[in-house]
Amino acid sequence: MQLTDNDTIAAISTPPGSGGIAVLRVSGPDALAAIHPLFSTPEKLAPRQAVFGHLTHPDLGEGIFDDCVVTFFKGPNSVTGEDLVEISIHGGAYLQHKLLDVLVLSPSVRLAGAGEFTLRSFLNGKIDLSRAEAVADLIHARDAAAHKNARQQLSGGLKALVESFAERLRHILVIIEAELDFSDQEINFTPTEKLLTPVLGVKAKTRDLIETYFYGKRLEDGFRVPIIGSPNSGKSSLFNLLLGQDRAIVTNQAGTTRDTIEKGFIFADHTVVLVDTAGIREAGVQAEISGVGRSKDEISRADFIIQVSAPDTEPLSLELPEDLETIDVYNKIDMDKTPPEGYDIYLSCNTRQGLDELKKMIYSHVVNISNAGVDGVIISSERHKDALRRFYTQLEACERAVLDALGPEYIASDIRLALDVLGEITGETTPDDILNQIFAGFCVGK
Amino acid sequence: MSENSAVSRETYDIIVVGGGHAGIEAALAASRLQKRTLLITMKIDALGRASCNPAIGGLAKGHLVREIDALGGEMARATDATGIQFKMLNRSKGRAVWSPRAQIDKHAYSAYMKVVCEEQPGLSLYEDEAVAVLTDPPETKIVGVETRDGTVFSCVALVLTNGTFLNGLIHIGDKSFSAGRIGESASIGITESLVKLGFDTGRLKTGTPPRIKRSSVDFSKTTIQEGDETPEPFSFTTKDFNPPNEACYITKTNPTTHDIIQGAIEFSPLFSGKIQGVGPRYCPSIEDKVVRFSEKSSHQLFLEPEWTDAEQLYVNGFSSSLPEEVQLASLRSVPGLEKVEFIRPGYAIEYDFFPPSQLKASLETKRVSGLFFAGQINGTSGYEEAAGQGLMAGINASLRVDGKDPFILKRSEAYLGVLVDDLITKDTDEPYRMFTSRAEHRLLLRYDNAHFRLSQKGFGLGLVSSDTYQAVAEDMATTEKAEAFLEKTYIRAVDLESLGLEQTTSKDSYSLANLLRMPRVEVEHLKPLLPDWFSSIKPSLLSLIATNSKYRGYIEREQLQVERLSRHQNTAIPPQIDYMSIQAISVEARQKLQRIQPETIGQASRISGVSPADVSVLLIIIKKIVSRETS
Repeated sequence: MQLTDNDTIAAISTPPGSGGIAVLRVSGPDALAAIHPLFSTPEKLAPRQAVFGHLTHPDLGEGIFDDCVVTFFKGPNSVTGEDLVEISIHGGAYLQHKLLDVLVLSPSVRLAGAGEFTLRSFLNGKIDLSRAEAVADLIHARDAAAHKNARQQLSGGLKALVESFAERLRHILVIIEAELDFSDQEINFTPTEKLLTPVLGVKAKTRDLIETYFYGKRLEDGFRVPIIGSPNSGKSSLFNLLLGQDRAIVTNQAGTTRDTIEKGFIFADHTVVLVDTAGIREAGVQAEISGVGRSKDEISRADFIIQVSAPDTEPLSLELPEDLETIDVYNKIDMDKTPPEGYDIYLSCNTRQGLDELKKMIYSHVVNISNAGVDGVIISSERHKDALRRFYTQLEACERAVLDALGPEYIASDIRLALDVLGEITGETTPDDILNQIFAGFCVGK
Repeated sequence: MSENSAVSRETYDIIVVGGGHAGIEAALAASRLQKRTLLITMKIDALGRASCNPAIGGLAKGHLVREIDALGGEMARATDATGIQFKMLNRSKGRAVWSPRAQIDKHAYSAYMKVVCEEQPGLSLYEDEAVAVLTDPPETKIVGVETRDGTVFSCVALVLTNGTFLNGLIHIGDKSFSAGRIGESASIGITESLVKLGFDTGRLKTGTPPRIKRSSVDFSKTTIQEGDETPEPFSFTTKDFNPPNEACYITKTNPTTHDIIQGAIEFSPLFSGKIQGVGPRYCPSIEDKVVRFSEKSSHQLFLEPEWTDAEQLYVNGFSSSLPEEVQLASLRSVPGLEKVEFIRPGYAIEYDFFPPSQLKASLETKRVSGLFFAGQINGTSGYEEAAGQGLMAGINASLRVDGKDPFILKRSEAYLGVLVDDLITKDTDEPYRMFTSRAEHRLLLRYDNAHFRLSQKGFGLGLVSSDTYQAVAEDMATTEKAEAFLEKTYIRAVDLESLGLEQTTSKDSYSLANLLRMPRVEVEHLKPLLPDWFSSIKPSLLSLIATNSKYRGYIEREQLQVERLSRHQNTAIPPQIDYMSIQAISVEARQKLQRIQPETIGQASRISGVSPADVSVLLIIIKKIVSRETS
């Protein structure tokens, strides 16, 4: 793997988790270019000026993603000594990661490595020399931690799976390189078209694996289960009941919960994050409008939802995504002797009737999701997802090269780059590895 | 040196030991750069002798020869002058991997080189065996060399190109004897004097096939293989190229051949354990092929003439160290060779080499200043690899004499850059040969653009004449003009058919440059759309222009990769860093760095086992050392 420090890097620079405000930093020659397509008023950006605006981009979802404050620091007058852009957004963990995700989708920006911002600061003379050793130790420690972490993540099926990708690509590369470097010899070469099948196979599995990130992240952060319903259907009561404590403010006045409240609890070995939301209706007061917006946002990130109805509330005036798994709960069953049919659970928060059934149903949903994955493998590391996504892009290029009959040297170039990317997860493939396999597999030499 | 009792003769700027492909290029480059140069060889008549196959170039090697030419070396011109069959390999594949190859007349080649060396102003030849390198106490600076006859020559820089001669040991069956190659003595003494200076040494092995009598071959049972009808010269300077086109002949081994070899395998020094040195896997002996690839019932053999109208043929593909009678018996089972007679049998040779991680990127040793190694002494194989290193060592020895910075090519600039960088950062455990797959910038480093890439550098060094450089510069200007035209000229998709091209529906119009990117579209197809001045562009340049278009997207991507590399690639690492004391670097990296002592961050980053995090830490340490020294 080559050392690159001439490119643009991005990372979340506030501590992990949800806070009031999160700051993302982008440093390097393309820092300004990276924020341009996302920011509402990029033309206002001038060195050392905080500019308020909002973020919109198709990849960030429909409409306005979030309000933000963007500050541009022109190198060398920045903390890293390079062009640097700081983006402050609202602190939700989801928002932070989603934004970072979209930033590093740009080919000129990559995820920062361990200690990279600090290293650049140091190399550009922004940190006092007396801190040199501390920086070195920091990089070493982070690298060691990252390695340990990576090893742990790689200990199971992921390592085997990614290694199998690399192996299949190496096999193709060996055939192509043998053909290019030993074509003057008597070897029966595989037609290029035949190489497409394994590439497509790896590509499909890679796509599936990237998609498991969603679940992988859930395994780490917890499964998000918002409780959705019309105002005063008893969402907060249910929230408290499941958590076994009075976390949410429960009143009998409709519209009490104006913001979302979330709380994780361990359930069937997995963390489930219950989210109490504002009731969904045509909102009246201003504070409720933003609360309802957040509820909709919660739905879009949900693994599945608990939808609560009650005898004394209006039916839900909201269209839910078709593929969203839903547990339909009919609450306040103690108030209704003839409940309507068609609900999954009939529950009373007062008498706890139906509570065990609800828990069982939550459990089966969680287990269902946990079993998703490619060959039982799911990914949860941002770094892995980033690498796999770039790997995927490279495989697409490779596929095009084969389909366009560009010739083996093009395909080899694509596969080499793909293997380089994969090397970030599983260890690099060197030209010697390929030559070794050629010598082992083919009788070369006149 | 004064403690030596020998007579001190003359003083030179640069002395080159060895008159093979590396030594010749080193000596010519040095003398052409106005250095008083002495070439010491054991046999002046053997200058430029091709010890093994009678061919120059081939896949990846042809690239090297073109680059040597672009930098003002001699190998390409010698090949054009003495080649007897020229062929562009890989012609059915993309142009990045096309590579020229030529059969040469070995006698003529050697004679050509001898004349060039003898006539080169500033270059003296001395026929003797170098036996010791002489250094100044405390043994860190070269001062001269001593020969077998007791003569001492002093110099500022010494280039060792000893080939397979250092303690060379030839094996044929269970017989082994000291020799540098067949019929010539080994060189004894240099290894010992280098080991005394603290150099590590190792042992490698290579081999060569039997030479047979043409009159004993029944060619009616072989397939004829001829060269290209319109051959391309290696050198940019070759004009009116009209070389001979002598045939080679192809035949095949069969199960009987293999049985005979298998039955005598215990007599092979390779399998009896008699040979300790490691041989090249890409050039295995016939007994190796038979044992390791037992499922293959036949191997191709090429009968190549060693010179014009040669009675002596080279049996390419039948390298062997089996006893002579086994070689002969097995070869006689091959169609066309039933009555074959040997001029001499094949043999294996073991020789000393010096692991090249002991060198700087200039090919100067890290241990002794002014001492350069080039060629097989560095564990490489091949005439072209040797010549390339010889040229680089000759240039750098000259720059050393002038007190100037070394001339170092990047991996993204030349195969020569890949070659040297691989040598100094990798551990070689078999003879190193160039392959196109070693170059990460393969699409950029093509044989057809070698002069575009390097002639300016050759001119800047003073090795390429002004006329030649002007001619290359003109070609470059023409290319640029043509490419600009192709870039800005568009054709509607509906008009493609009129050019005999398939109409695709993906776009309404195409630039001509875009059309050229399609497979199988050549400048020829676009002719009706081109202005008159295009017709005056020479064919080789038109082909280059098309090739540039075809690879453009990929090359740009590779270029991006180059630019993304650390801006610290060329940051120098101060000598004598005690890596073992740097706790923040992984143990494996510490050990490797300690042993190899890379000169730059780039080199360090390419050593296997050194991670980007290790390099980051290294950058910090260097910055600390440098600022401590300056404050």
